[in-house]
Amino acid sequence: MSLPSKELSDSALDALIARERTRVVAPLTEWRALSAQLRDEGLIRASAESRPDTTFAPPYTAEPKPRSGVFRWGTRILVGAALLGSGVVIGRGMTLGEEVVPIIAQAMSGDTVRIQLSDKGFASTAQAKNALAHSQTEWRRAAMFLVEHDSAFALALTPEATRDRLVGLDRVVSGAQSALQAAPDDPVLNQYYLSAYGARQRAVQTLRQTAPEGARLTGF
Amino acid sequence: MTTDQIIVRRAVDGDERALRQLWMQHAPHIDAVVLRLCGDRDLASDIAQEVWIQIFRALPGYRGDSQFGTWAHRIAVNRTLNALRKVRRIARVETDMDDDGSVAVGDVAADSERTFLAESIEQAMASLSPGARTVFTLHDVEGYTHEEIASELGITPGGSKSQLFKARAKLRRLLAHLQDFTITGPTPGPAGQAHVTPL
Repeated sequence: MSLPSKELSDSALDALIARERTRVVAPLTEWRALSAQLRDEGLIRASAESRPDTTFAPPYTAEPKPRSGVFRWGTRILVGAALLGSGVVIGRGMTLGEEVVPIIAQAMSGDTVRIQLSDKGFASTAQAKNALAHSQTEWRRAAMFLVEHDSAFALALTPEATRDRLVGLDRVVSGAQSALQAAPDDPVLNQYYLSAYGARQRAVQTLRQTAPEGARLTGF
Repeated sequence: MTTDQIIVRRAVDGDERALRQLWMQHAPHIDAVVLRLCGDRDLASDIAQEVWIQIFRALPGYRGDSQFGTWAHRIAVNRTLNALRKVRRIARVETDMDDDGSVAVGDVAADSERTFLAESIEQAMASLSPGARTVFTLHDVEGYTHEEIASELGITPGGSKSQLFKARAKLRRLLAHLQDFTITGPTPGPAGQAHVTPL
């Protein structure tokens, strides 16, 4: 009969340490206490506070949120933008701005409301959405017209300036995408995304057209 | 952009859901580090709160160069060490290495018969002096070098090595009853699978 060892071997201790490395514990703090302090410090913003907190359940088991009609509306716009960007709609005379109109119109489920801008505001949300789409389209058309006909505007679009603009637009697109992760059904964010994405595609096209002969655009 | 980076962006913007998601995903690992360094659950709870506030304060500086968990882990270690200094536990790092009498081997052995293996390790680590526990945790568990530990704690690398030697010697004695367990006993779960110690 052997006596029990009075010391653990180094290798056995190392095995225990390896096990300890993977050990996790239940959180030592409570979210309620933590969030209260975060609010005090302004790290939780008021706008975020007002949102329903859906992460009470562990993230691994969280059920997907039911999608609202507005969400589908936003998604359809994004899908439309993605289709445009992937080259499904290409060609001179079929600019992005012109193509967005039917997509948005389709997304509005055929609600045709005449735009009646006045100081009194809008009679309905459908009218406001229609006005938003119309204004955006007009803005794009005006910008594109200036690119083609205004020499001062065109001068600003040198390859270098266009590249710089692309960098900025990429940041806007990226920021809008992040924002849409948080609020995918927000029509204003969708509009920002569409505007930036459309401008980006247009800038890429301009860069291709103005690149020196033999040069290839490999980025963007 | 990774999912973590998207969540971090939202968290930086003050989105409570994103902040909470980061906390829920990473607290089990981060709080385990805090607990190991503190060796006391009450103290660790207080410090864990400070650690998480610090992590969220520092969020705008997270560049995504490393995984969020790795980045937060480093903050947790630094913040915990700072907090421990405040409560004057680290100040005794060079001098407060008690001899083995502080916790009787028999006590730990008796406890191990009715407690989970992890609790035995936790108790044994808790019985180390604050300085020895910190050096042991940083070196053997967290993978710091003696030079890094010396820099963090304001001691010499030689002092760190000495503390580690003493800590391991004490742990080998305190955990002697686990010799058979580690050789023939139940093995940990599948590789990479962590086990949760309930509070």
